[in-house]
Amino acid sequence: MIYMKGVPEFPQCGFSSLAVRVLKHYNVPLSARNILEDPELKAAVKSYSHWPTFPQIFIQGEFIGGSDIIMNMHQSGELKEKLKDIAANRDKTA
Amino acid sequence: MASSATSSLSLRFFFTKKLSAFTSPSSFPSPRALFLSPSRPFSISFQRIQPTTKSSASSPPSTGTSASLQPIEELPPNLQQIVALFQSVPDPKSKYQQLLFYGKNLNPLDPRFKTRENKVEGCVSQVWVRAYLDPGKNVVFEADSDSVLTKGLAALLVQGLSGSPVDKIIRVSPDFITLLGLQQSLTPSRNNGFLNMLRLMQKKALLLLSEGENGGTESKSDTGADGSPVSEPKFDVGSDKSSVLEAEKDEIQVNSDVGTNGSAVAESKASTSGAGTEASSGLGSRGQRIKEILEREFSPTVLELEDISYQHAGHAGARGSDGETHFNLRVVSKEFEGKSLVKRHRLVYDLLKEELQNGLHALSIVAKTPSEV
Repeated sequence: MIYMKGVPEFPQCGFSSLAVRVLKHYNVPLSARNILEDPELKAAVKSYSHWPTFPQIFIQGEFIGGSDIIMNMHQSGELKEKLKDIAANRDKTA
Repeated sequence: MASSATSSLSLRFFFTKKLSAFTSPSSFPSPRALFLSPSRPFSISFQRIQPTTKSSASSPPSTGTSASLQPIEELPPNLQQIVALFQSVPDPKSKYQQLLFYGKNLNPLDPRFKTRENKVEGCVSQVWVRAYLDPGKNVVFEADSDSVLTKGLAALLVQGLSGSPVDKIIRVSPDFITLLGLQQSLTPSRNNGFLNMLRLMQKKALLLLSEGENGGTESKSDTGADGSPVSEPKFDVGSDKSSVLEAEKDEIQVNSDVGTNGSAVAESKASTSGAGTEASSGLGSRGQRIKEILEREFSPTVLELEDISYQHAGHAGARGSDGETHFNLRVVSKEFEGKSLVKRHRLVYDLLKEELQNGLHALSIVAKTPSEV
């Protein structure tokens, strides 16, 4: 799940766009919420994760980080590992 | 609704075949909602190749130009046509597709022109722009990019500005970008990149001029209607190109923050030229504060802070502030040992909580331990 600025088809922020691009690279379902549409949501997510900026990426309910961290994990292979299980489960139930 | 394939085909027809001006709305069937129809009451021709004379653009577009925006007539004719085309297409998705269509038709740039000097700063993708003078002393632009969308934006500018004389080009204010109505389809950084493309093209045009006239630019600057070229030759003449771009960039980006009011551009440019050179030499007060806080808490071995706010001028978060909204941070410290990336970033964010509430908008953080470097 990604809380982002804009929507995956039309990101309204370079960082959000980057995060979407990285996540789309993997074969996992991606849900997105446009926090620009809803200031309450924006404030709520910020205080939930103690994270002041967007985008914010959650994997299976766990807060992972922002676009820097996702990019980092993608480059180090950590992201692949994390998402591997999800992709496997998805294929099983599909 | 026509599919995108046919739509781009039809648009191509409009460009290559219809050479006569559409003089009156009555010559068309009733205005249809279909976005391809040129049935809006424009008296502008859709010629692609030859620039049309100014008189063909006498009627302003239906959205109207408010007093504060640069009048559309002052734009180079090719650009006027493009603006008109985008305005006749109200649906954002179609505008987007039109943009992609431009991009597909952009001629690739010879690789030897893909230099640093030709690179547009502040764009997520890579965009290069090249300018040269044709025998008629008009500027011709060429551009290329590795992303289809930015190719479209570049192509739009190339088409809109090529074939026009230098003074027309440098007098183009970015206001026309709003007229295109693309802003909701583009991310702020794309919008910003677009702005930077325009700036770079204008700069190159001016450089061509000063090269061609060999320093006799003082007289030329007098002809500038809004006085904005006045400050530019002073920077360009006799200084290193790349540092000129840096200094100009800070100045210009602060400029665009101040507002899109065309008449204000001249004053603010003159008044911020001093501030611009300041900003380019070091960090402003927020940057200093951030550095101090981080130094105090982390005793870092490496601390690099870069103000990249200029890349985000026009961004929703940066509007209304004087820069110092976006930073790149690289910090190496033992304090990060044993902590996950998220924890490290959180640490930094927590320390800078006040700044974040006061206008600091984004931080790109690289946080490493000494052993990781």
